[in-house]
Amino acid sequence: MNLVKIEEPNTSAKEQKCLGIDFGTTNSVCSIKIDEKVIFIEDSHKKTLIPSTVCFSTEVKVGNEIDLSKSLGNTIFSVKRNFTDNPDKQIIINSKNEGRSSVEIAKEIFSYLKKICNVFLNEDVSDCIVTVPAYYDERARSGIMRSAFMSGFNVRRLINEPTAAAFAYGLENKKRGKFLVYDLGGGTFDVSLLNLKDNLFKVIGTSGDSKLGGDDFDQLLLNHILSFYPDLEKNDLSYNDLIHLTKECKTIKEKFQSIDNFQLEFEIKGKKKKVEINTNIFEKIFDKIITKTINITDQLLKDCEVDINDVDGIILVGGSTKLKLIPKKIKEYFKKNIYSDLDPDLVVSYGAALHGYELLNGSNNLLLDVTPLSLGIETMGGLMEKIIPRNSNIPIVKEQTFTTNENGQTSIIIKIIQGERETSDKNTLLGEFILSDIEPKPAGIPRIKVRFSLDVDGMLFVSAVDESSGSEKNIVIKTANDLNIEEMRKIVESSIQNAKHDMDTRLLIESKIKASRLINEIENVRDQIESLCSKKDIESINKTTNMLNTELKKNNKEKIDNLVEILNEKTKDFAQKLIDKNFKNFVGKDLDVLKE
Amino acid sequence: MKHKVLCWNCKTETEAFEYRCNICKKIQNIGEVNPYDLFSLKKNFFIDYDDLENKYFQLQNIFHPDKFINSENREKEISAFESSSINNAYNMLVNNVDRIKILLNLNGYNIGSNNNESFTDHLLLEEIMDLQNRCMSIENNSEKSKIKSEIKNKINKIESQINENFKKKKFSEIENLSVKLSYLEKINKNLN
Repeated sequence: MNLVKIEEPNTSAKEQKCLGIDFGTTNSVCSIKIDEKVIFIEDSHKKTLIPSTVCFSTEVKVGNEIDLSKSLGNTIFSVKRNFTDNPDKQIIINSKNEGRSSVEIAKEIFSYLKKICNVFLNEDVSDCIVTVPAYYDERARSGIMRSAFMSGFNVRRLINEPTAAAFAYGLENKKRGKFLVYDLGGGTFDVSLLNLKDNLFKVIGTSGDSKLGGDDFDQLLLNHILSFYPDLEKNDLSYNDLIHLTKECKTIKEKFQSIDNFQLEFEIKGKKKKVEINTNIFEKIFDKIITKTINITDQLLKDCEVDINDVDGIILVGGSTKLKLIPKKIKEYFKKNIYSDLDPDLVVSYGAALHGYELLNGSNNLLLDVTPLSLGIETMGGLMEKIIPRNSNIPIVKEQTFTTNENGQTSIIIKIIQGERETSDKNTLLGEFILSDIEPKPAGIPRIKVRFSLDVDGMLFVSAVDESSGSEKNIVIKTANDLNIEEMRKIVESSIQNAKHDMDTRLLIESKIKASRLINEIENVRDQIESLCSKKDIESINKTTNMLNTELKKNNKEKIDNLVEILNEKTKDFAQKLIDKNFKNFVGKDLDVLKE
Repeated sequence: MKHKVLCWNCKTETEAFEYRCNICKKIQNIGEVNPYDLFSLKKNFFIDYDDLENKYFQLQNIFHPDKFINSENREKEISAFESSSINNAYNMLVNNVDRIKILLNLNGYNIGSNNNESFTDHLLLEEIMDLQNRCMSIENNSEKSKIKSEIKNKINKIESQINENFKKKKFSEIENLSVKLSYLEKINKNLN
């Protein structure tokens, strides 16, 4: 007879497993913490770096399974780059012109990762944490989350890549103090400033560029080589040639770690050329990109009001930081200690595995992160009313009350936007919804409460309520169509450059709104004006109102402001009389506007 | 402030539990509380930022959604809601102008009840315009740091004036000063 081993009903004793998945532009890495140790998942070729490539031919192949010498043309590279544009846009995947969305392509990679994890661990682990670039917006985040879910993973949390890396340094490397995490991957650049304390890892601020990474180095190198072929345009090359040459450039870049001087012989379209590449040329080619990352880092420090002297070190993350040039330039510029003890290719997944383990099994450590870009809604005149400013700690719920701008208005369109500019047409529209059934009332009376809640994954939920009628609308930013989320960093950059111009536009629009509202209010109480004021006063109010109406069609802020002031002055007497007549309740807060 | 509280889960009414029910240990809503009391700070204008930060971390350690990933939905909801209230309360306290508003409210002062401001307003406007003009025409770094330290001094001076006025309970004075403070802080921020 077999003895049945009875386990104690103590579920907490059994550790829950959670994968840390770094889905990268170039490579993906999976790891997991088991028995106090983090192990990296290997594919059947004993590789931990799984190329994020998918080949759609007779069957779908991923990563090291693809024989690039045979199927270069049918292979999709760097699919992650598309997530910031539109993760649902169809992309041609093979010579038969078949299409798939980026979400579906990434799903193939996640499915493959799940398969190799199960084989390697000899068990099915679905719980995971997926890392995303810190600058990622709502749509990109939700796109990645959908891909992972579709492949059967149970995504317990999305965390930001630099945050995950810092978590690993704080936990395993016992780093304490303020650190910059400089994360340059294959397609993305992130930089985060963190405060690492005992049991506490807090992100102070984050910034980045959605379209800056190792891929750009390869392109620059390719341009340099093509410059030796003056009568050859990039467009003259076939798709296969181009991919082939790009691959070659990548190899040269990687080899450059160990060799300082290259004499290369290239053959393009039958023409042989000798190309020399040395440290000087290398530095010259890549200088622009590195300078860009330094500027972004400088701006982040300024935004966070942290002096570089108070930073204890810079942590390098991402495969591209393995280029010797990067630590050299960063050290030269910031004059700080540089850390790359934990492998820059693996540290993001490593940190995610550590955090995932702690999430599911409990811990005393706390990780506090922020949102990378401001969120708000478009108000009258195309202005952006920021509701959650960038670098706010998440989770966060914010409410703001808005009102109508026409008498008897019964519905309102709420446009949700993300970005750093003052005027909303320069920012990214995340989605819009219509709140109807607002009770018809004079302009400015209804109170529409808009609630933004940004959860700890960085996902946004928006709802709006008309407080008087209780009409409510909820939306979740998940699958909205035609969002044009291009180059976040560009938004921030141009926001800085155009700050002055934006401010002027904003002030003018604000003046105009103030003026139209005043006119509106006066129209609203015209009956009372006529019964309460002298004929002379009425005439003068009318005259000024007409002048203001004319001025509103032009763009002279000073004139508008002056007329508003005069009109306010002229209606002051009337407002007083109105109060005397105890009309206060009838017009409610309109009075405040008249008095302003 | 200890009073009887009812746990949403086990429905037991017990004496003042702090954040978790004494009986079933489930997380509870914090309820209406002003930011100063939430972080157990003395109701002064000047606050100890390190102290505030430590209390903020302690509270987040209790309520942060990461601590409830395997919990039932109601606990998750409470965690998400309270964790963001804690973030909001913290953000308000570290912001000078918001903190003044909170303190004025706690003192029963009605913001906006101050009417005799046109004169000070006029002078203030001129001073701010002047500063802004100078900031626009900054040409080099030494000029910039000079203006920055000048603004910093002005801010420090107003801060201590506000602190004094809170002691003397001159609330309408504080309201005027806080307008000036918010302008100066904005200019200071734009200089970065």
